[in-house]
Amino acid sequence: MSTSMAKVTVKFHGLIMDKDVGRAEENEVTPGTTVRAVMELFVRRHLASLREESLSGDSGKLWETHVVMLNGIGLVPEKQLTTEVKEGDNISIFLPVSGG
Amino acid sequence: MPYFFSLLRVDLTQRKFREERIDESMILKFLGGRGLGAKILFDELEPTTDPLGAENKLLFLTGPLIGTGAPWCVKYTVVTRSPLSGTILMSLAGGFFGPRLRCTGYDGLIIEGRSEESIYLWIDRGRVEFRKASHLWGMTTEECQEEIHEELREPRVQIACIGPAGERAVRLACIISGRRAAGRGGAGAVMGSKNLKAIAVNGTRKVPILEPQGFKELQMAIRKEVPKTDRLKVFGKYGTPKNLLLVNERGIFPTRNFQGGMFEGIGQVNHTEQQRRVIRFVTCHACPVACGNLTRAAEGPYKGITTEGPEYETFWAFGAQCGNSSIDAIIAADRLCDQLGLDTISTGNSIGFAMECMERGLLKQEELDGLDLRFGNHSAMVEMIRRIGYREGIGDILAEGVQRAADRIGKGSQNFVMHVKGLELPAYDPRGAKGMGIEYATSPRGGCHERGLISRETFGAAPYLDPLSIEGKGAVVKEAQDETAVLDSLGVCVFPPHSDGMDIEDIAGLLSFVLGKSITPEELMEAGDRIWNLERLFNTREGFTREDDALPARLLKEPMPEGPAKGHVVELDQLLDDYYLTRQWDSNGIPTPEVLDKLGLAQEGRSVHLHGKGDC
Ligand code: SF4
Repeated sequence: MSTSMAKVTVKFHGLIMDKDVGRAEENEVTPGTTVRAVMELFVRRHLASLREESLSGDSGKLWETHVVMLNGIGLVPEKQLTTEVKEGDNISIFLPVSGG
Repeated sequence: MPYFFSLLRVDLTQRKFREERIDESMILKFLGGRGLGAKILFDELEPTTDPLGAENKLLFLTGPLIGTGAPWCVKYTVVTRSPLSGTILMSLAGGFFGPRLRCTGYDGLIIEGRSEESIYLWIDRGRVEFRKASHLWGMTTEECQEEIHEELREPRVQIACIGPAGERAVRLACIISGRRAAGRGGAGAVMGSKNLKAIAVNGTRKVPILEPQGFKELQMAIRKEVPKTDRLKVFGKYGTPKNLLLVNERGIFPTRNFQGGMFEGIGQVNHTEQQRRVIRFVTCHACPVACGNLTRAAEGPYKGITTEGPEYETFWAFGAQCGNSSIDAIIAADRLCDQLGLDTISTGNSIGFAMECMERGLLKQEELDGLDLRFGNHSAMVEMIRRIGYREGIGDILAEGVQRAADRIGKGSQNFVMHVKGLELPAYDPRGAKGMGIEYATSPRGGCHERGLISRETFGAAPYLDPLSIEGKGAVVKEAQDETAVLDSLGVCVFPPHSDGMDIEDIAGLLSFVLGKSITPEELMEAGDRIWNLERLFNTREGFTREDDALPARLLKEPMPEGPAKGHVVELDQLLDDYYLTRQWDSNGIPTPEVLDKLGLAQEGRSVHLHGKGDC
């Protein structure tokens, strides 16, 4: 394992029914990788399940509708594009905001 | 043709009734439902009226969009003086009762007096009957509705009724129609105090729409967008429980009576676990979303129990609040509350409070008639609900609401009793969502999240709003509150506007077609502001001041121990200063003559003299 890689955890909450509540996946990424890029990785890995469950039918655009948090703090789409992850970061993805 | 509303005024003492007209100018000012109810109650109720006395009035009101077939226009509102908080109370419910009430030919009911014996009202196509209810007294809400259906043999009848809790004037009692509750603030106790078990309605009137073609086109256009809107589709599939995981992760999910903000049992209590138990979707009248779920408990002693819901708040009330991670126990608790006619939020909050009392040694097992009311003991929790509903043992004390229970128990329990103005707090911790602190403190009925929920702050909806900052929150809360007053008064479900479903422009458009005159979104928002101020005047007249816009000591003094809001308390004074300024209220929270003048409430303002708070 290269020491220059950063370990980042992606937690997905109720996106893929029956499989994922609080499930965490670790990703090793190169420094400078953005939150958006980590999410793209996640989407590619789970595309089939997400398509099955996703209500948009276009899981590739998860970040446009779903709530994304970095280390417990909400991230708007523009910040997802530019924020670079670092060792030990936690990214959480939730279903889109609705109801109340 | 001028638009008007027709109300039925019913005197239960004399067994008399008459029809009254509300003209268009009143609808334009107060819209309907909640707003119209505030105006009627303000004009007609003497200050310090005993909420459980014959003099209190109980209003069932709809709005001009109800029954038109427009999506999400379904809610009826109960307006009265709350026996729990002593404030004005507005309690809303969806389902089918509101639209059917309008079909009777009446747009609302004003119930007065008290019947000598238990009765129910039967209103059918303009006819009104006072019917004996001695055979219904004691029945659960489900039994009562079944029995009335059997008696009336009219398939389209809708019924609003109370259960054993309302009969016993339990201050947490609600009114149930179908399986939907006008839940908060004790409206069920007011109905019980009048010996009114139920109201059954039927009718075939077509509600008036003065420009039907334009109305039809607009509502079809709104409906067409539903299948294309992701947020609505997600909401339709999972309903409010979908927010459990999110709110928990944001660290504002009150746990064990607000001792923490993240629940360790969330893995067992969430929407995916619920989905495994869902039998079918359920819906309200004319709703293209159908956010409700009929859910059946899967395991253990509760296996097979079925309920409509539970909603997010109920999952919290009998989950995190009571330290319980058995989802099947929550399903059973929800069902029992519906049957007894109890508000789930207040009931769960009260039981969580009693659990903390027990763990701190302030309540002994003997005082609980042997009940081991530790956090997490779900069988004790479910049994406690029954005791509250029937006012048995310690249940009789909790049936008075958590504020009075703490006064009774004493021994410092007032330091961790979670209510505002006597209304038990719901499922968000404002230490991590500061605007919610203003909302809890200023909501006209007491500790409530629904009169101005900011989904940007609570759920992280775009555009970004820092939940931990207090900067500018007064204005954000005011806007959310005014908009909610519009939705409530027109009887529009608040969920779709939080989900890209329908905005204030759509609503202004629909209302314009119904009334046959142009109403702008700005005029609607001004009406919301007016309604909010009138409710504030009502409470001011009852003696409520800034001192009552308080939050529990725990939220002000004990920093959040965990999660993203770790270390935070609510900076209430600063938040209130900012909010009052935005509302043009004085530093004591009383609307200034200038703002009342601007909103056309100068006369109401002048009539308010500061009375002492009533004993309720
Ligand atoms: S969204 Fe849910 S609560 Fe609102 S009207 Fe539809 S079914 Fe009823």
